[in-house]
Amino acid sequence: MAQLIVHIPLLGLLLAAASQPRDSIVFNRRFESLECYRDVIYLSPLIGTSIFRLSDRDSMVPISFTDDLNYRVIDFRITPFAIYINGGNALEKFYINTGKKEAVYTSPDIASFDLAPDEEIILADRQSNEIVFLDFRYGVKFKLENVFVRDLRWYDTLLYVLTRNSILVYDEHGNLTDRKSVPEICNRITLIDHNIIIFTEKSNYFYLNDTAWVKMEFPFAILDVCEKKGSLVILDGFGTALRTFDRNGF
Amino acid sequence: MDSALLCVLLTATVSDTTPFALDSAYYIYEVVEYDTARGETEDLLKYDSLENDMSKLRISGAKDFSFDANQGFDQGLRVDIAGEVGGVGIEGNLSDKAAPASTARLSDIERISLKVFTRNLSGAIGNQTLDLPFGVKDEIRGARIGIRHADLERNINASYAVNRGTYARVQFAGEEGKQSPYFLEGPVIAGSERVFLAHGISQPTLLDRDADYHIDYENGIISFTNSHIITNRSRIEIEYQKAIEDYLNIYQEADGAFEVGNVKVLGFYRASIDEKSEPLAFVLSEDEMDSLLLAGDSARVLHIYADTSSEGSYIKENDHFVYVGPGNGDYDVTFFYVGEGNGEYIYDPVLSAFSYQGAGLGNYSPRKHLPLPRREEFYALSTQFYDALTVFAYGSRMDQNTFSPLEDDDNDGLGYGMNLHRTVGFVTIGGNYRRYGENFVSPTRREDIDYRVIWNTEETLEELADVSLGLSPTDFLHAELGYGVLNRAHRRRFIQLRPFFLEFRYENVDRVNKYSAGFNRRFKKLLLTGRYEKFESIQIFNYGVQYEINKDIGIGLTGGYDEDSVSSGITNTFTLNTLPFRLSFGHRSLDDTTFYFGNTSIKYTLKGFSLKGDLQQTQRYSQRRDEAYIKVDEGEGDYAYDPVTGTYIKKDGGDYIRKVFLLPDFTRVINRNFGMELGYTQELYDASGRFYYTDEEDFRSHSEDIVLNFSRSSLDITLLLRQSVQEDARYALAANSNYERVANLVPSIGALSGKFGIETTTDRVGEVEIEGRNTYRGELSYDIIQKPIVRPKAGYAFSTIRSQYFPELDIRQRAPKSGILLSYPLKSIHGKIETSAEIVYRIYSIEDIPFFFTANEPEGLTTVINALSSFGVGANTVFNLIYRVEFRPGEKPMQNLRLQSRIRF
Repeated sequence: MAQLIVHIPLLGLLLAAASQPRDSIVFNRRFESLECYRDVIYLSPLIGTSIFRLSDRDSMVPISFTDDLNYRVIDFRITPFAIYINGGNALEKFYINTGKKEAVYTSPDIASFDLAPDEEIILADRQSNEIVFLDFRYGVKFKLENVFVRDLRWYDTLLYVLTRNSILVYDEHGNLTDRKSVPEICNRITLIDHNIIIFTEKSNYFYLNDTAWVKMEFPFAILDVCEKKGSLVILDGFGTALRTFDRNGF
Repeated sequence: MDSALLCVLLTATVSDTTPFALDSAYYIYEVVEYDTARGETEDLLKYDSLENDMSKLRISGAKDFSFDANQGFDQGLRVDIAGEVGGVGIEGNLSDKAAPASTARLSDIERISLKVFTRNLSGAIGNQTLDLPFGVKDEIRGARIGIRHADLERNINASYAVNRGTYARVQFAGEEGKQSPYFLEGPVIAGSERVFLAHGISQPTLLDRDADYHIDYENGIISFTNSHIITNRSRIEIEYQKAIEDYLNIYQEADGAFEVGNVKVLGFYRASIDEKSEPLAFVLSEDEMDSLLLAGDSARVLHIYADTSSEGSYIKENDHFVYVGPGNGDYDVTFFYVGEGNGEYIYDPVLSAFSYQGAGLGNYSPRKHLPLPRREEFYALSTQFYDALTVFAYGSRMDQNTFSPLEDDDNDGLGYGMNLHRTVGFVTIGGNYRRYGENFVSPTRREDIDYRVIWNTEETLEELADVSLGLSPTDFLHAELGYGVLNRAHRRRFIQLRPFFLEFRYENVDRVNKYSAGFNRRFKKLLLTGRYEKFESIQIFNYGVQYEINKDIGIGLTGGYDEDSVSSGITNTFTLNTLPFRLSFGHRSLDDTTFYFGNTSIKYTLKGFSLKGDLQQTQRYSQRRDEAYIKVDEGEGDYAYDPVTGTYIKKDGGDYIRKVFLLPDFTRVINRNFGMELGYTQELYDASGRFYYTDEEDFRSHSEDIVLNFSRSSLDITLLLRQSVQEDARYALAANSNYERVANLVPSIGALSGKFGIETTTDRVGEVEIEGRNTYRGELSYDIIQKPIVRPKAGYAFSTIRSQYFPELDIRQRAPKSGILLSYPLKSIHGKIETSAEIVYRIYSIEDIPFFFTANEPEGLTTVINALSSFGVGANTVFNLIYRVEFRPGEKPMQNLRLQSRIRF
């Protein structure tokens, strides 16, 4: 892990004043995951029956997708007509307007998943140590074996897979195109403007990769990160507040 | 990177980290409580959308084609449009992506949405929630267009669509200690419900979905959370849109508004028309149509939901149906739950079918009254003067049976009324008058929420008049008094005083008196509330104490006492809120029964260790159930029938599917569930665990997952431990239970990878062990070449298998296997070719293995070959060719070929 790490106390430098959160929103409930889709923020609790849409700062709309009180939302993705929800042992597609739900893929332990821009599904099956590419009919197109995935993200035309020691980059055919080592063990990966961000939930920093890994520290813990209208949105470690950083403020 | 973000970061100097103190400004904003009154409007007609960055029109999407040798041709299309052309903003999506064959009907619900908007014009196509004048809210799938003046005070809108829902409203009393389930009639349009809850004579509260209740839209089931404990003093009222299922319903709507000086005029027209020639769930026979024609609006024609079929399960004997087994009968029959004593059939768990009992002796019936095709029109006009006085008039036309011209002379109805609300100085005057004709029909509620309790009557509102006077002479004194008359038969008076932080109210409806007194007082960090109310023989006292220790920590105690002439109840709830830990628990005691409830959530982290979890205990009614296996076409199911054991074996490509029936048999149960996740990370190793547990009287389910990982240089070792247990005794005939315990060790060093595991599974029905199995397996693979990948692998599995269907058999299975993966990237044409082959040779310790064991694992050599070719043509087109063939001993080869292409644009 011999990496060049530029270590930045994010808000303590000359841009401290400008880089304070442009906005903060505090919730009266706890969330675990965050997703920005078309400039709208969606949040999910650790265990719950709804995904919440923050349609504006004064209104949260719960989208109920199950009546199972013990439903664990590992992760979710939004599309115009449906929400894909990873419940750990099933990846399910919930149709927003009808309330119907169907299982897309089942396995005892789905660690992570993502959607390609054309809604093709790629998921990590931890039970079999495989990355599974599904076709548009949700049939298995092909698998990549012997990959122990912590998290994965599709960005543009490439799949970024976070493992314990490295980030593996695959093309849409499953060819390994790049491998990057990571500065420390992390369990989440996301991409913003072609830059990889990795972090561990509840830590107060993330690493951002460009020509080198940059460590960015915050005065609060991070649970999840997404990008909205070019701004960085962070769900804090208790899952009770969103901090929005203006990109120009960094 | 086009942003300034990284530029700044990379030029920053390296320095120590000194996180600065959190600015109090971080907390200046707070999300306002979700207002369900806003509904879930998709904001298709947002006026300010043009403020978004839309300098040009962007169209993207993908077109998929697929040919599957087994399932035939399929295609899918997805288009996304966003941008602006000549000052016209456009946003839209189209998707007709196919769904899996097993849920093919869902493919129908993929859809289109399109928004077009300028400063003065807006239009939308797709599923829309319309918040319309006069309190009407509709769920449609179709088009809406609107023209408006820039000041929004003049506008005209029109909609033409398929109507998705019809307004429905249910009111019921809570059942003591029953948080769930409460049933609504029919499927509910997602997001359309408004749930009100009241206790005693207090005003109903609009509840928040998720925080206060959960809803199963498809089955129409409401479940309340511990936020509101349901008692026999609770009143529940739910408005929702019931999904239209009888006929295709055409929707037409127009509304407009204009303002001249201090006069605002609003007009509205709405029509909802059943297409009688297009019933959705049944086919009308000629005789039935003749009956409907002659019967008029009061027609009651029964339809029997049975279709003749050579694959049917029922025959007809003496005017009723008799179950004879799948494929042995002449009819496919659909039975409906019609309530106890209202049907002719009951569900027989032994037969897994319905059996005839006689008229009025069952709770299921294959007969239903034919839904009548209706035509409903509504007109409304209102004028508001000086923001104070509103006068309105309604008209309606309802034909209950468009097949028949008979009894149409009572189709027209009228309604009218006025509202007055005006504040002058410290005096507020309010008035309300409404009158509805006998035949008037409204597309929304005509009576206010809680109307029956307010007026202490079950009568329909025909005429209502009330006046009120409010006085606020000082900041610390408010008074209100009012008088009303309903249907010229019921009279209501009230007076309410609010001096300082106190509130007193007296109300009289006919001969019933209602009294209440309360207070709400904050002393710095302490908030005290209390309320007493009395009506008839019922007395209720509620209290609340909340103390804010600091901005992150608060504690509270709330509760109440209630009594009537026969019972008394006490409720207390304690809450503790901190950032990492939240706790709420309490009890509800009624006479000699007590129900304890509680919720806890925790999020904690310290030096690589993390803990998060939720825990809950609540009370609900559990429903009895039974399972049945339904015959489907060969290969379309996921179960196969074994005639030797009389059981259904899970088998991909089988010819049966499993279906669970809910029986009308409920038991009150305490439900406990928790989910907890732990994690610990160090540089060389890390561990994580997930634990989930659910417990009820007849149902227990828990799962535990632990993952340990060690990694150093090219060495990586992972240990996965998993246990899953489910014991379900809610089934009518016998409890189902299954256990699964798995331990997998996954080491890898360089190009060498292994996987070693032990797996124990048990399936039981009642005391009978259907199958138990212990499996020990190991597998090694080695990447001889990594680019391209050449990966041979070899493995061995040993299993001991047992079943009480074959108690004399001691079965051991050995299964050596080998395989190879060849994967060659085609970088020049952006693709790859991949082939894998696996051979498994299964050896059993005994001869003549029953089908029960070999259905999925036949004795002898099984070979599976997969081939994939994937390549791109240009930047936007991808072709895939996927071939799979499986050779099983004694069976025809099972093969499948898929050709797929994706064109992006």
